[in-house]
Amino acid sequence: MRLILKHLTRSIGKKPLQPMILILTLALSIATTIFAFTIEDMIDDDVKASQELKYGNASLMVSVGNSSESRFLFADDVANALGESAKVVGLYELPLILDSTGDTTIAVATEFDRISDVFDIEFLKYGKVTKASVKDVAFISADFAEEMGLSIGDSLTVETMGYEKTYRIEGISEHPFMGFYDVMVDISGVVRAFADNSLLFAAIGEDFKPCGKIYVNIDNCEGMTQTDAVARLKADERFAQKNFEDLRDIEERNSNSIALNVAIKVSVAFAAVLSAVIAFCCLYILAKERAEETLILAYSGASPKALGMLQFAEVIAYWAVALPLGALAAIPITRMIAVFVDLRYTEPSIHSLTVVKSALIIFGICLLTTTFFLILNKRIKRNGTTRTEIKARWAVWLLLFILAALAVLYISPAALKIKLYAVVIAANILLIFLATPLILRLIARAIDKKMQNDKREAVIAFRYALKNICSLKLLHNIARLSALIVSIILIICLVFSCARGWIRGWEQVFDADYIVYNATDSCYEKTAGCESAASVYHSYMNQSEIGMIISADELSAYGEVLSIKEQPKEHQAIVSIGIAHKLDLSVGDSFSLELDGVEYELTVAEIVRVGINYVAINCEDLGIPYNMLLVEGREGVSSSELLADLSQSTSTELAAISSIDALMEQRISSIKGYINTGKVLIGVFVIFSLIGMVNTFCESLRTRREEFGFYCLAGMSRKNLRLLKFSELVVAILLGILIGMAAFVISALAVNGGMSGYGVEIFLGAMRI
Amino acid sequence: MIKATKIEKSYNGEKVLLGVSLDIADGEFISIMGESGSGKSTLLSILGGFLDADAGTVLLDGEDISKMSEGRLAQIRSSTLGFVFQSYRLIPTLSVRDNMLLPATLGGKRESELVGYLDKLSRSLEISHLFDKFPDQLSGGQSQRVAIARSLLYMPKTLILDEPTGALDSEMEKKVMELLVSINREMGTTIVQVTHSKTVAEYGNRIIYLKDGKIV
Repeated sequence: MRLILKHLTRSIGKKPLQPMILILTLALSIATTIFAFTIEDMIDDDVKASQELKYGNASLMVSVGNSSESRFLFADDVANALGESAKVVGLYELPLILDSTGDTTIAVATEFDRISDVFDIEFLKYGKVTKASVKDVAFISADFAEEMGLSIGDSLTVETMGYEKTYRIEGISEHPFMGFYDVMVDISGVVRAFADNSLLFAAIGEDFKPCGKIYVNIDNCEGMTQTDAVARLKADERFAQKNFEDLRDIEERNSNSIALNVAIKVSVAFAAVLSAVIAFCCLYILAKERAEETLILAYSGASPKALGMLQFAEVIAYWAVALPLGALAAIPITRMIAVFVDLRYTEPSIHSLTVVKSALIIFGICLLTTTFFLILNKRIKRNGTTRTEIKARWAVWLLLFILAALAVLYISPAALKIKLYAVVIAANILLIFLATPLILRLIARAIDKKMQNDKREAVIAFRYALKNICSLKLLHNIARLSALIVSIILIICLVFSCARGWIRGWEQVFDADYIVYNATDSCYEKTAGCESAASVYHSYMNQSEIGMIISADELSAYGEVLSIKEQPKEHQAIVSIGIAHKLDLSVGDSFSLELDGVEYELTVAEIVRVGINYVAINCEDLGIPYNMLLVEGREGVSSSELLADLSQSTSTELAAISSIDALMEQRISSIKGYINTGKVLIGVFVIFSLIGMVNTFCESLRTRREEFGFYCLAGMSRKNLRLLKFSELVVAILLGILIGMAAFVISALAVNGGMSGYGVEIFLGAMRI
Repeated sequence: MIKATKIEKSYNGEKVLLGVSLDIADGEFISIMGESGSGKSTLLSILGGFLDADAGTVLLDGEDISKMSEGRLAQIRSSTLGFVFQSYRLIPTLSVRDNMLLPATLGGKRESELVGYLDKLSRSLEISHLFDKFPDQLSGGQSQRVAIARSLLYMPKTLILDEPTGALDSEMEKKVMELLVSINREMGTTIVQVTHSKTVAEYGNRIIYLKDGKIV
């Protein structure tokens, strides 16, 4: 064993390029895995930080609710119900129209003196705020200040529901308040503005402090649990119809990050597979270089176990060297990726546990790759025959399997489709590996045959290049990598176009320009009376456990993308195919739907093949009040004109107005994160693959010096020798690209088949949801 | 004892050995002769377990060589079967001394046990002064002698040699063949060699002629 190790260390020292490239590849793999896990942690931390900003120390939120008759809550009522130990603060969302730009921004009116009991906001640190001055000051976020060019001491004049008031900016916070609001003013200031302009409000007095949501902190309430607090409030008839939400369960609220976690895990698996592929190629080249020596060792009596241990020891040594390099490289990569993922509240930091976890994963991958490699080379060429025939047979069987799987995929139920398409894509990648040399041989021989009679030296050199392409495994590997790169990049681009199509689909869910929340009947009448509004619809939108629930009083409120042709009647529901598969529903089946604590029994009237998951119900028949108005502007009316008109019309209604874009932006923001992550993955993949290709080609030149020398001895000029080398590379890459594109078509058919079960149909270059 | 029965071998459809049968008793010194392409090296490789025959069996001391596992073959190669290749096949990253010690140490022998015999063998083959050199620093003849010394160091029961004196001058050729004869007589080592040279072939006690894949 000592001599074998001596041989190994000297081999590495004599030809260090391959080992260095293997170390570099492993370091990149480790770095990629570290960054993927770190991004996952950072996104989790970012979401937690944003949740904490949003809810602070509050554990319970009480809101108005759709079935409540009253549109207001009063923090004092809640505080009285729960006892003086409970910390309570109320919030109200108001649209504010800024005098300078006409834009609107949602602000919050609340009680400054109570807010730090429940949230982690210390207003006093921003300036001297007294009880007397509180109604005249505003606090803004740093982004808002930069956008508006404001600083502390400046004035901010806003129009609130038709009443103008000027505030003095007393503080600028690092982040938006509660993670969302750019401007915060005290409720008393708003009421004061109303009182100055309205006899009604003047009569009500400044103690009138209505809220839309109340946040409660019961930490100081000894012996009171969350359940006790909710029970106590529900027992009070003032809160019987209200909504109660537990704010402590951050995981459940985090459905976006769960989906992103899946995407990150897929990325880690992707990086691991890629590193295994590149490591395999490097091991292959190393083994090829040392084939003669390994044979001598075997003939000298080295057991397969000893030779295997040698291989493992080498790989482990490379891993050990790559580990610190990978950990160091992860730092700048992670910082760069954090910019793409747009983290707002956390700074990228790599935990030592993440490094250990990543190192162990890549270690495992190395061991698996080496084991697989050794199994392939198990019998040291005792039969003296090539494996071409075996590979050709396997390739044909694999192609037949893929075609059969595609046929089955298109006719099978959706649940099976989604599994089958992944199998087809995996088989497709394997087919690329097996079939590429065979296809190269066929095409190269066909081209060679056409050039047989051409006696020009350059053509002869080119023909030798084609002959080398037929037989040289290193050139086959270059073609394989080209095919793989092209195929995978095209698939990822297809997935991106699907994602963009999905985003476009979401933007067309409702056919409207603006949404009015908290709209009463009176608000509806006033909105419908707006000259700028072409149509106003009652509508409903809510998120339940099974998906998005929608309803509208008119069919024309729904976007065409939803394909709703008829309103559901009574207890019927129109269900998208994704939800139908999720709940295993067919037309005529019954299912339960819980909305705001009330359960409804519905029957599936129709299953619609669209890519957006929704359940359309009939709110009127079910007795569910509509929670918003959809407003479509008249032709020729600008967005800001419509907004101004709506604000004016609803000024006394305490309604909130939001553009449809803002609503959908919330829904689709996670997708943009996935797309950015995907772009990074493409970049990593391309870097890995290019390293592999360059390495393989350099090796093919380096190990063939003697062969090139023979060409010169045989009379080939240096110019034609260069042409030979160049032609080998170009033809291998071009043929690889063609093979990759053909493989992409198979994969695209598989992806289309898989997604069609969920109402998504992909046509190359376009997408229909 | 080596017993080969109806060995057949083809390369890319072309038959190289056509049913060769051969019995080699313990202690025999066999020389195999034949023209280029007659299948000598192929037969030798099959007898040594480095190549599998398409048909027929090779029994090495009663054990079918084609059915042996790689582990069992490795064991045999480092203890009872020595092989000298036509192309020497020295490991370029090991010194001459280390190359010579390799099979013996893989067979479980300690270096300290081998030093005495190593020196004696090296002196008789005139390669003692080359111990610290590497294969790429040796001439063809020196490499061949190192390869022979490597195969003899652990005193195998059977020695298979493919053109063992091809790169040697007549004087060294005589020395090497006399060494092989003495090993065969004194230690009872079975020797099978392939050679083009009639002079070298006559050192053996039996000459086998191979023509067109058959023993004539």
